[in-house]
Amino acid sequence: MDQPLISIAIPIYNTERFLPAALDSLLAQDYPHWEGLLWDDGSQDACPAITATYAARDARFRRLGDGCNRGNPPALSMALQHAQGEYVGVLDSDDMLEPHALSAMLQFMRRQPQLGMAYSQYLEINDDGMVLGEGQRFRTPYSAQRMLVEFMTHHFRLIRMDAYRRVGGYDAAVDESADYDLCLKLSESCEIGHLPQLLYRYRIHRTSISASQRLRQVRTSFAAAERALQRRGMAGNHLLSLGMRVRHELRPKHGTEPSA
Amino acid sequence: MTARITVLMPLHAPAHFLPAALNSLRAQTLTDWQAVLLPDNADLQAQVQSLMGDDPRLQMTLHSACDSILSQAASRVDSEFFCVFDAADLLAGNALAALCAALEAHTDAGMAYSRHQLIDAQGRVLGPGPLCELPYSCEALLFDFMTGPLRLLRTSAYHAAGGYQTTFPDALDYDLCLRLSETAPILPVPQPLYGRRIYPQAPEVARWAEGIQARYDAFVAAVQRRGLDADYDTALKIDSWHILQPRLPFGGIPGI
Repeated sequence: MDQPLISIAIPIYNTERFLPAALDSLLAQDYPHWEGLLWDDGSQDACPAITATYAARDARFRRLGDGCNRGNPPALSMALQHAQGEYVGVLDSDDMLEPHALSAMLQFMRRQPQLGMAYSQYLEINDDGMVLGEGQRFRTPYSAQRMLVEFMTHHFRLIRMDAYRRVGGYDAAVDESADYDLCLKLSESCEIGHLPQLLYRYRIHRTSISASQRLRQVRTSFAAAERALQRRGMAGNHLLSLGMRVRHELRPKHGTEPSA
Repeated sequence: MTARITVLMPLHAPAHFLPAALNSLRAQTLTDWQAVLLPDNADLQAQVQSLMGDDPRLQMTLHSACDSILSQAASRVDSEFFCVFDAADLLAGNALAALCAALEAHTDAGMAYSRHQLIDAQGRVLGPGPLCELPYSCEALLFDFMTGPLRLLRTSAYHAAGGYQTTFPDALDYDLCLRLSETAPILPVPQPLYGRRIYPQAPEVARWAEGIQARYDAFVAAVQRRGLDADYDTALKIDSWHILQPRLPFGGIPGI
């Protein structure tokens, strides 16, 4: 049986504390036929030195990026333009893969050749790597229509390269919600399967994202769903609206409660 | 002669809710009021003029930027009390009388506000305003903007609190209420005296994200003014969800 190449894009920006663990988790895969596309998005910390070390140690790592900071969607889009694999996936530079993530996903997809994408379940970890619990997004059963209102195809995703290219790949112009946008487009063009195994460690950081960043997430996510509604020809018969609960919070200083 | 209450009426296109708004103002049981209409663009001016008719209690001021015109108009108020009445909304017949009575009974109070109901473009009641039934306190106002949208302000208290400021243009009222809550008592009047119109062209619909950000920024400024930042960090928590519904044949939404 042939062993196809899996391209893993790793967009990197100032994550020196977590990057070695991410890259080690790729090195620890029990499936060896992968390439790690290390796209440094203009880090000002030790990330460039870290990627240089790993690339010198293992030729499966390829260092990419021109030192400019463009943001995550352009970084993903450009990194995957260099992909040579038959399958593609993304490992965020502060997250980790379980050692059998690639082999399990590959086996799952090869058994179901009609799938253009598969996704697994994930654990949430804190800044120190402690497991906080299982992620919840995958608990909603997948359907293409349900994805208009809920993004359940969270990490880890493996995508057939031809399916990825057919939908145009990551849209570099989509801010903040590039994963959701891509998955919506994939859900319109191919079948998507769920492998109920915990294959990814998703880090929940103690420091909050900024208010403006969270608002951008909400806005761009809704815009992605509205575009999908138009693409699917549903806008004439359906109304998509945005529900929100907004809270101002005061948190005691030196508190340790983590927040996403 | 100056009326007891000045009603400032910001007006955005389209102006087709204005006749109903004016009718509800003219129907007030308290008659000692004057109103200043504040259209946010010149195209509305002629339309507003014809709707005003020859009612001597109505004036109009034109400006290009509605937020700053509100601030300017408030700075010119010479009556004892004033309120802001969005020209898309509706007043209950006793709205001004009830709020005025509250301020007359509590001469130290800087502002009185009522509960409100949400209404649609056709004037149908959608339900109670989402926050107005929450108990008011100076501290609670940091977290929930329950003081409005109908507020009658004592003009002297308005000026003492610093008036409308343009620091947070998408959160003028919330910022004002926070500052007012730090300088004067605020009175809730537990009656629904106002109809808040929900319609797609409302300025706050187009600028919802800017509004959330501006209210949060006003909250952070209030936390700093109150010295709470020594012990607390601030955060904005947003839970969001998409709602997909079939369109009904007449264009309505199920359940409404």
